[in-house]
Amino acid sequence: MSLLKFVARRALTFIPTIIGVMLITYVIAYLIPTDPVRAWVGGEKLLNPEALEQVRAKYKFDAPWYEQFSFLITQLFTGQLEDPVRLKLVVQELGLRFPITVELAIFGFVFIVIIGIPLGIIAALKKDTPVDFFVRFFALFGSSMPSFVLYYFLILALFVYTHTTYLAGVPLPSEACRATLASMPSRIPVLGHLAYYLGAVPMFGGAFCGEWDVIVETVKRFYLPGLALGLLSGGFIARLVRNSLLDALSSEYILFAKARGLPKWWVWRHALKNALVPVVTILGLQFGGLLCGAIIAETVFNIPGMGRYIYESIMRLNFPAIIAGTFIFAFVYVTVNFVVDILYALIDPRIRY
Amino acid sequence: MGMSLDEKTVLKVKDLDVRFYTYAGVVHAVSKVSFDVYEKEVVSLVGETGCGKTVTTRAITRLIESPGRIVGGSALFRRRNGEVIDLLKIPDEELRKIRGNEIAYVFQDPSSALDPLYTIGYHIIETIKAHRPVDKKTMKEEAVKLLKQVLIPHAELRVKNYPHELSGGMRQRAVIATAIANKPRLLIADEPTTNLDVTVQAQILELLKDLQKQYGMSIILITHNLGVVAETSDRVYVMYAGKVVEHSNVFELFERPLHPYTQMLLKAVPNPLKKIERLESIPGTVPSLINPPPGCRFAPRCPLAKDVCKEKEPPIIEVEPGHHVACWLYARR
Amino acid sequence: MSETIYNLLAKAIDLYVKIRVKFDPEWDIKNSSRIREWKLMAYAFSRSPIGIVGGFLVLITAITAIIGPSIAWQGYWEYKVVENPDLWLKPPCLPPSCSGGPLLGTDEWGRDVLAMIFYGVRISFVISLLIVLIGAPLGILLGLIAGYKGGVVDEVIMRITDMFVAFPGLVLAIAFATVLPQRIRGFLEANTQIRDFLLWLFGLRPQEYGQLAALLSVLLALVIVWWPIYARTVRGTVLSVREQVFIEAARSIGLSTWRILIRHILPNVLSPIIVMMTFDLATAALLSASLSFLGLGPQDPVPELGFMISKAGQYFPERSWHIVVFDGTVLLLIAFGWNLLGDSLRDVLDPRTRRAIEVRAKAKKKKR
Repeated sequence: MSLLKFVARRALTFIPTIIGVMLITYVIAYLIPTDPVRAWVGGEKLLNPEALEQVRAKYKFDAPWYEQFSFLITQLFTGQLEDPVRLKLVVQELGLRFPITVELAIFGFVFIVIIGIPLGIIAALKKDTPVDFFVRFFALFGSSMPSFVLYYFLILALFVYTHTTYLAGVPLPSEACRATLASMPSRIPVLGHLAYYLGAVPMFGGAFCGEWDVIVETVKRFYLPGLALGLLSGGFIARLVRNSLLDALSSEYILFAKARGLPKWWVWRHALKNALVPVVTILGLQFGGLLCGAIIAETVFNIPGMGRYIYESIMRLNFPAIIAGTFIFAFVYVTVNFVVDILYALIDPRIRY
Repeated sequence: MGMSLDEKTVLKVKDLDVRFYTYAGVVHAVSKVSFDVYEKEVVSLVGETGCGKTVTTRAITRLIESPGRIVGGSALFRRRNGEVIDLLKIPDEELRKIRGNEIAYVFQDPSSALDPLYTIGYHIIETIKAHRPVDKKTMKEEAVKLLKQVLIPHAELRVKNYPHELSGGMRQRAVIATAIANKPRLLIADEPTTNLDVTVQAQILELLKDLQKQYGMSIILITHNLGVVAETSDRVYVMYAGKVVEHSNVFELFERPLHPYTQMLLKAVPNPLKKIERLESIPGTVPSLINPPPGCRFAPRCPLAKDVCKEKEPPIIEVEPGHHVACWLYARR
Repeated sequence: MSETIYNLLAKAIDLYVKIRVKFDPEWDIKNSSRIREWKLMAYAFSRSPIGIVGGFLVLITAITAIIGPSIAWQGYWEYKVVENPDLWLKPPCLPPSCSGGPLLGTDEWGRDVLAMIFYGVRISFVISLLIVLIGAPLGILLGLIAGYKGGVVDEVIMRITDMFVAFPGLVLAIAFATVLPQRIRGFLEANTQIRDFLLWLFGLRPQEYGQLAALLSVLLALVIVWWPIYARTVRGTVLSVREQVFIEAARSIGLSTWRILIRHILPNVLSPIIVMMTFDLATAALLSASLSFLGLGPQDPVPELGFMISKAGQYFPERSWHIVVFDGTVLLLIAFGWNLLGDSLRDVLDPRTRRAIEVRAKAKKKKR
C-alpha cells in the first residue's frame, strides 16, 4: 500500500521537474543567435532571398522570443516540428534513431554490469591484496580516460588485428517483421502495444520474429562500443560494489545471521542484497548517463542514433533540432531517474516513507 | 582429554585465550578465562567496556573474525542429546548446527541485528528453517506464537513488519523471539538492554527471566550495570582487562565482595537511600592489552597493591564454597 | 623519497606558520593542535604512493601549462604544409630507429605534434582550473545561503538547482555551448581589456578572439553544469551543522550571519569539498576536451587537444594514429594526475584513514 503512495508522491515531483527542464530549454532557446537561417539555406552563394524569407517566417524568427519559443514547444509536442536541414519531421527521426541509442545503451549497461559487479565482489573478498589494488587503479583509470580516446584506441587495436575498421549501418529486422510488429497494437490490445514498443529496438524486434541473424549481427556491431563503455565505468561500479559489500559484511545483522547458524549461502544472501541496494541506484543513474554518453560513442563508431543526430545538428547550427534533441534527452533522463527511484523503493522498504 | 561434564553443567569454558593481531601490536583481549554455566541458571559477566566480556562469549561459538584468533582453551558443551563436545574443536558444519539451535545470541543493538530488508517474521522463519525443516504453514504459525510469547501486541500483523517499523523495545523482543525460536539450551545476551529506555529495560529483563523459566534455558548475561546483575542473576563473574578476577553467587558478591576491583565497582554505584558526600570513581584507566605487564592487571589502579602484585599474577582461590577470587590478598604464596 | 616529500611539506607548513605569527604573535600556540594535524596530513600524504604519483603528474602538467607556449618552437598558426607538402601527417620519428624528424610526427597542417601539445596542455589546464574555481565557489556560496537562511530563499535556490540537476550534464553543456559563442563574441568585442587578458591566459594570439569566444562558451556552459552539485552538497552539510549547539552559541553572542557562515560552518565542509574539487579538475579537463571533440570549442588553428583528436578521426587509423595516441595519452595523464591526487587526499583528509596510515607506518618502522 505504501509503495503505491510512494509512487504517487514521486510522480507528483515528476511534473515540476519536466517543467523545470522546459524552462531551461526555454533559456537556451532564448540565447539562440540571430540568423542561423543562412547556414541552413546553404551558405552565401546559394542565397535566394525568397527562400530565406520563407524559412524565416516559418520558424518565426522575426517574431519576439516568446512567440518563437512557444512555437517551438507546441510544434515539438504535437509532433509537427520539422528539421530545417534534413527536411524531415523531428518525430520521425526520433522514432528511427532513439531505439538504436537504446540498443547501444543496453550493450554498454550489460558490459558495465558484467565487468563491475564480479570485480567488485572479488575485490571485497580479497581486500588489500593485489586484486583489490588493481580494482582501485582500474576505477581511477576508467574515470581518467577520455571516452573518445578509448574508442579510438579500441578501433586501432581491432584494426591491427583484423583489419576491419568501420562497420556501417545497424542490423534491422526484415520488412515483413516490422510490418508484423506494426500490426501488433491492433491485434492484441495491451500486450500488442508493449510488443510494438519493445520491438522498435532492432535486437528485440528480430528476436520477436525469430530472425536470429539480426541479433548476431547486432552483437558483432555493438560489442566494441559496449565493451568500451563497460571499461570506462566498470571500475567505478566495481569500487562501489566493493565498498558496499565490505560495509554489509561487517554489519551486525551478518554477525547475527552467523550466530543463528544460517548456512553460508544464506548469510551471503543477506550481505549481497544489502550491498546491492545502493549499487542499483547508481547503476540506474548510469543507464541514464549512458543515453547521453552515447553522443560521443555514436560519433566515433558511426552509429545512427539520437546522439549522432545531435552531433550532426550541432555541425549545421540546426537549432530546432538541437533544442528538440536536448529536450528529449532531458525528458528521458528524468524518466529514467523516476524509474530508478521506484525500483529503489521496491528493494528497500525503509524509504517508502 | 577430560571430555566429561558434570550432569548439571551445560557449558564449561577453560583457559580461553583470544588475541587480536593488529598493526598496533598483539592485543591479549582474553587471557586464560574459565567459567561454568549450570542448567537453568542465569550467569552474569560483569565488567567495564573493553574488559573482554563480549569477546569471551563470542569466542565460545567461534564467532571471532580476523584479526582476532582463538589461541587456546576449551569450551565443553553438553548437547540436548547428552553428548559432550568441545565447541572450539568441532568441524564448522557441526558448529553451525549448534548455533541458533542449542546456543543462541541476543546482541546489544536491536536495530542493527536485524536485516532492514527483511520482515521480522522472515528472520524467525529463516532461523527455524535452518535447523528444523518443517512445512511453511507450521513455521508461520510458530513465528506468530513466538512473537506472542515475547509479548508483542498484534503479533499476526507485526510478523509482516520490517525492523524500522518497530520501536527499539519491540525490535529487541523480536530479536529475542528469533533467538529462542529453536528452544536453545543456552542463551547468550550481550548487554540486551543497554540501548533501550529504562522502562523498557525492566520489561525486557522480566521477559528474559520468564522465558528462562518456561524453556528451562541457561542464560549468560553480559552487562556493566550492577543493578541488572542484582535483579536477574544467580551467579556472577567479574572480569577485568581480559581476566576473571572474582566469581560467586550473586548474594555473596554484593554482601561480601572480596576483590578490590569489585569493591570499588560496588562503591561507584550510588545508593539512593543513603546520603552521599562524594561520588566514588575508580582512578586511572583500563590498561593497554598490548604486551600486558607481568603481575596482576589491576595492580596499577589498586589501592591495596603490594610488591608481589606487580610481579606475579595471582591464582584463583576458592575463599569460601562457591566464592572464588584472583587476588594476592587471599592467596598464600 | 617519502622522507624528502614530507620534509618539503613540513617546511612549507612551518613557513606558513611563521608568516601568520608575524601578523598575530600568539597564532602558533593557539593553533598548535591544528598545526600538528597538518603535519600528520603531510606525513600521511607522503606515505601514499598514489598521492605522490598524482602530485607529480599534476606538477608536470602545471609546469608544461605555464611554460608550454613560450618554449614551443613552432607557432600553432603556422601551416607548414603549404611550403613543404612532405610534412603532411608525418609519422613519429622516435630514436633510436629514426632521428632528425619531428619526434611525435606532424598533423595535417604539417605542425609538429609535440609543439601543439604544449599549447594544448595550457588550454586544458587553464580551462579546467577556471571551470572549477568559478563553478565551485558559486555553488558553495549558494549552498551556504540556501542552507543557512532556509525558508523561501532556500526553496527558490533549491528549485533552481533541481532544474539544472535534472538535465543530463553533457547535454546541458552541449546546448549552452552551442548558443553562447555569438553573444560572447559580442561581449569580447566590447571589452578588449578582458579579451586580451583571456587571450594571454590561454596562450592565444589576438587574431583568435573568435575562437576564444567558442572556448569561453565551453567554459561558461560547463560552469553552469558544475555549480548545482556543490550547492546541494554544501546545503546538506550546512543543514546538519546548523542545528548543532555551537552555532546557537555563536548566534547568541551576536555574531553576524556572514561571520558564522565563513568562520564556523565553512571549515566543516571544507575537506570533502577539496576532494570533490580535485576530482572535478580531472572531469572538467575531460568534459571540455569532449565538447571540443564534438566541435563546440575553438576551431582551427587553435590546437585544443580534443579538437585535434577529432580532426585526426578523418584519417584514422592509418595516417593519423599518432595524433590520437599522443594527444589522447596527454589528456589521460592530466586527468589521471588529478584523480590520483584526489583519491589520496580523500584518505589523507579523513581523520580515521589518516590514523590508520600513521599506525601502519609506525609498525613498519618498528619491524626494522
